Amino acid sequence: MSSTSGSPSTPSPAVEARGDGSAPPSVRTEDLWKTYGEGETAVHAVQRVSITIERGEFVVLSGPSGSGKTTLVNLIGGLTDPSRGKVWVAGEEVGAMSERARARMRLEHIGFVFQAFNLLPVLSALENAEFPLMLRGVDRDTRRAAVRELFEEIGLGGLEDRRPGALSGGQQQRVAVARAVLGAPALVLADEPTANLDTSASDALLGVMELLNQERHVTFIFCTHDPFVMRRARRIIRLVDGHVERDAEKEPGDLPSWVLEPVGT
Amino acid sequence: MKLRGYWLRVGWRNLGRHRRRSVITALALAWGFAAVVVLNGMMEGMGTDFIRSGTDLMAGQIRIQNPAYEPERELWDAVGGDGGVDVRALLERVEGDPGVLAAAPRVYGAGIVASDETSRGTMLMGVLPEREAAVTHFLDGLVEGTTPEPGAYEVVLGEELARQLRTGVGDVVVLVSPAADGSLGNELFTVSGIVRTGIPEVDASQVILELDDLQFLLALAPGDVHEVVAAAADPWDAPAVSERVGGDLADLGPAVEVVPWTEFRPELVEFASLVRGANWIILLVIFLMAAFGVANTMLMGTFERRREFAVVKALGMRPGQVVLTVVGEALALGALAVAAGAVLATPFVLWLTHYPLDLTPVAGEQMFMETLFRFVLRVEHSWDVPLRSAAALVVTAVAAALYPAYRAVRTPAAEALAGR
Repeated sequence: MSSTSGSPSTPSPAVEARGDGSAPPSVRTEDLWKTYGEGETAVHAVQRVSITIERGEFVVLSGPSGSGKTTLVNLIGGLTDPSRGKVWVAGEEVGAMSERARARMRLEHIGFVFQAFNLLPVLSALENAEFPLMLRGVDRDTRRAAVRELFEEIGLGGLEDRRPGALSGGQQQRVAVARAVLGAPALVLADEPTANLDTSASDALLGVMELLNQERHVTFIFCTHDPFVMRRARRIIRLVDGHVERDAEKEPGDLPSWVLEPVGT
Repeated sequence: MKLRGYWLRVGWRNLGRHRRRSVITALALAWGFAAVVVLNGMMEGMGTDFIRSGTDLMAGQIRIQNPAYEPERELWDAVGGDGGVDVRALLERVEGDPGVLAAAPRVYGAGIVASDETSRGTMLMGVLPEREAAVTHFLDGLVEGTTPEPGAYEVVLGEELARQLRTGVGDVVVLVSPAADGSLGNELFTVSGIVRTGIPEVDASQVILELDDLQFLLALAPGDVHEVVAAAADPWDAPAVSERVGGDLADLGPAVEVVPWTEFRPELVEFASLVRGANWIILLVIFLMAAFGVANTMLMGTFERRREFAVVKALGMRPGQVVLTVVGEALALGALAVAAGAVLATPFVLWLTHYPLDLTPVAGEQMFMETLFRFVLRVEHSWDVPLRSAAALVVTAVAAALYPAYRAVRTPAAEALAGR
């Protein structure tokens, strides 16, 4: 991990979680490439990406549209295979896993928040949120109690039985976030999680995520343009044209000027 | 994992997303199911009627003979061989089997029948009319007169034979026949009735006498009968009943053989097989159509929901569980179709079971395989057919969903999430 600006004055959850350093990093990539097309028409959505994200980090992947943020997240989550290079999640090489093993890895270790909510329209808000817990075999009463408690915290109380179509964009995104964090996964991959939320809802959601990060050392990797999210991150990795242009730790609350600079300046 | 109800619930809800499409597909499946149930029942009914017609009319469903009797049909090859059998005791033993409704003895001969004007070669058949009527139905075809009375020297003539002899009820005919003792038996008989069986050969050549009278004419002893025919409670059980009765009569020696209709009318078995084969073809065609319908609906559904499959995969759903999601929808569709199909089929099944539609006035009667065939639309209802068809429909629906399920599993998650 390269760090080009500052370092936290207080131990981060990542530092605490590392302890004696024996635990594998949450995410590690080695010379990662994802190329679409061949020859002269080849497009390198991700190239030469070698990063290490320790357990408990609160990281933002920033960069302009088309810089490869979402592709990198998909590679980390095993949703697509790299053209070259390797990805490890919790020490396990994703490329070496069967489809079934990847599914298990995602179920047990990763929570996803998608840019377009991607709630299942035939399920209620509660059923959507409890979906990963159901797949894990958590009993109905336990998972429903957990959903209701979180829904109360993030302002979704009373909306449990509504289908996604009957929820606003912000409400849907909160359900999506609830779905991602409810099982307290070791890693949450969130693609523009606050894109459709107002400031107070964003604040509430990030508060929940920070709590999980602080107390349970859940690793968060955000793809976002939102300064509000970037300000609360402890590390920002800026991608340009698929490669890491800058990777720096920072103090929560700070917003380094380079983060907002246009590409190439 | 407590997901048992989940797949069906989600499958049901997914069907509700495109109600019109789901309803149309389910109705198509339901029609297929109803058609299979009704057509199968009608084919079963037709097959059974044909078997009954082919056995009830004259042949009977179980035949007891001396194995040496066929094919020469020598007069002295009576049931039980030399000395014959105690006919009354034999009938009681045969009728003692729970699978036998009734039994009747017969004597056969051949000779010449002559009226005042002409003569014809004839087949002679001696029966006990009351017993015969309990086993077969050819005497139901009396178009004139009555059955022969014991000791009255009466005969019933086939309708065509009577016409050719230019004789009628009350007239006297002469029967001449070689007898078992080598003599030439001849006797005067009064025509007591005219019968029309519908079987041309029978109507043109058959003379029916009272059993004792023919035994007397052929110089046979009272214990000499050429055949005992029996009616089985269920024609399809005749082979099993025959085997049982044959075992029971084993003490009478090798000159007693019990044979079911499936052996002495093998062409009827072939016809029954043909009917069943046709049933299978109908079933196959209808369910193939159903399979394509389901596959089409499910494929459309899976293409439309690529993003959702990508999401559930990203959330950790295993490939097998993705398959179950699609199969659950197919199961829900199949269940809906079976329920709707049952509603569609029930009135037809009840109607044609209790009130068969007799098309004979329109279509007439046909002789086929030496059997009188009447066009009666009748459903032979059994739970077997609808249950098997329902199971086949559901299995078909599930099988048809496997390819769409495979496509769902193979959904490239990243591309689908990006809307590509």
